[in-house]
Amino acid sequence: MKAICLKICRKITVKAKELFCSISFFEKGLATQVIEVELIQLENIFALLLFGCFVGLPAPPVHLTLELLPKMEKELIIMMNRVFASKDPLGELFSTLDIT
Amino acid sequence: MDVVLLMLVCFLVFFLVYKFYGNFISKKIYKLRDENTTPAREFEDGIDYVPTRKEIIFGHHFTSIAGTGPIVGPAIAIIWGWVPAIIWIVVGTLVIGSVHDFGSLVLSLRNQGKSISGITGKYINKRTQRAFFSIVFLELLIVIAIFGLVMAVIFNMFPASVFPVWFEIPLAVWLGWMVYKRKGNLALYSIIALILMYVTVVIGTMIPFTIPGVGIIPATGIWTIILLIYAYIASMLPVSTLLQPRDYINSHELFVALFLLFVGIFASALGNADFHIVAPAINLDPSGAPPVIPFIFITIACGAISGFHSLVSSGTSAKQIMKETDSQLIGFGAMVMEGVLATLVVIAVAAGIGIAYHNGEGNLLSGIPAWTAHYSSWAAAQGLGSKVSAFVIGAANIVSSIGIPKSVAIVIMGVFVVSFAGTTLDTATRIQRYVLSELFGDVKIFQNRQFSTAVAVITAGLLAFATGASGEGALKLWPMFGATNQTLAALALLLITVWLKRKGGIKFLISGIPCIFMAFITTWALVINQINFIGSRNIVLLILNLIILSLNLWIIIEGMIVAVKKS
Repeated sequence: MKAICLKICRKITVKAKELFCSISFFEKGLATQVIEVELIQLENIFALLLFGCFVGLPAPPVHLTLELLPKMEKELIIMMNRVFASKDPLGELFSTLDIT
Repeated sequence: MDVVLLMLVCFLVFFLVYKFYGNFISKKIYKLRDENTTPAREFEDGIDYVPTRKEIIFGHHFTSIAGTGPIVGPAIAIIWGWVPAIIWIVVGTLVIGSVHDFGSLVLSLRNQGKSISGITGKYINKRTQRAFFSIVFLELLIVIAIFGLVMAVIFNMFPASVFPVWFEIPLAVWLGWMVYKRKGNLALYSIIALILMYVTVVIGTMIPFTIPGVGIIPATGIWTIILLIYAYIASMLPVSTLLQPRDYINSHELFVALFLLFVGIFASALGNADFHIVAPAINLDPSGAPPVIPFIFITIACGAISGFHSLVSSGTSAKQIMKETDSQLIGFGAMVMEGVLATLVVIAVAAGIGIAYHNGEGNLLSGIPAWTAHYSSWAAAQGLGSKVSAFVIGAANIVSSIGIPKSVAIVIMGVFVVSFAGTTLDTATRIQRYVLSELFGDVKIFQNRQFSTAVAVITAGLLAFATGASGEGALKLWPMFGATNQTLAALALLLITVWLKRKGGIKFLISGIPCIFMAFITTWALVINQINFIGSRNIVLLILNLIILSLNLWIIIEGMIVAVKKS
């Protein structure tokens, strides 16, 4: 009986901790979701300025582009995904900005 | 206890249908499997695609879709009786709205997390994708106008709410500066901001603020102008300055308001003999009101089904879901919570208002006379103002049962409604600016931020004043907002239906039947509106309604083309 009670108390404690963590993550996300999107867009613009030539922008590569290129594999993939996503940003706009 | 019984029965129905119908759709229709890779895992990059726990996504998703819409709609629609309102909220939420939101989310999940407007081009055609843009443009135009009017009406009827709402602006700016610039502790400053918010609510009761009309412009018209200027300025500021922290404060106000209402209903039922349903069960022919069918279906929009939700579902949520089965809680569950909010609003205006109401002549009314003071006719007691104030007062009566002074409770509820409307004004202006620059991309001046924002705000202002910029005129705009919203919803349901039809069998019926229903009902309501606007010779509303009707018919024709086309 004692063991069962201890087991239940332990389960409740774990669940409570998970709930508190979730609430904490949720609060942090709520506090920053719009700013994060703005930051992502600013990073995107910076990436396009430097590496736009690789995704169809008629911009010649600059010295910094060639210097950073070896380290930018992941960023280039992300940028190409964003180029496709940028053709239709309504979903992101509506879910980021609290319209209703 | 009839009120508590109604609430518990509705909540039980919501829960059971979520469990059984939601599981059926999840397992048998969409065949969601944890083994299937979601876009968040397939394209995980820590930036756009981030696998996240379902509870966190649910919270963000629900706070995105909950707002002033599910409050104003039911507060108006109760004029036809509480039975039709509750039936549409419950049935609409479970059979149409949740299917719509859930379907949009799953469709996006199965298409690399793309937005539903983009997927339209793939499954229907590029023409219909353009329809999405056009409907969104019209809807945002109406949203800015009507939500500005809602705020103006509340400021005019509840002067005590003016100070706390406007104080929220510097409070939000301060919170943003402390957290984002000074790297202050988020939890601490959030609690301080929320406490200060509610302190200003108390201060607001001591310093009510009114403004007079100027010439032929009523006080609500002056407030509308002020609010549109605010929308212009606010939408030009960086999001970290005002929008983000304000939205953050609003989300907490939502949870506080929901909690207060839920607890208050039990407290009122136990402690107040006057707390029972005073609204008529069915009132099919109220004076001056449009016909209950089809108008109840477009008056209660966000509280049953809303086209905006398809865009929200196919936005960031679809890029964060870790497992496919999580989408049931997020898509279906969040819409059910919206239905819960709408149900609480119905209870506030059907029962809460009957506890006590001080009319303009200083008389204390209760019971049916209190309800009738707001709902004796469609345009009774300042039209929209009387309907929205019925919610504010009804909810305040309920909340005051748990010990909060009535005057403070009124301001809490008024601030709750206005805060969400204020955020909508800001965000709708921002998105409209983007939509204008896309629609008129060839015209260079529309790439100018100031110009696009000015066009967004001025066109909305012209629409608001075309209705007289008063509460009575605003009631003409709300059904148009509902009709446009439901047109968007019909388009999203059409897309889901086409996608399900490709899978074979009769699965497409779960969205196909709601799609046909929404398209038919919306067309019917728009035709009635058109006849009325021709009769009243209101050119602006006539043209706008005609455009919405044309878009609606376009969607129906595209649907028919798709239906007869072989896959």
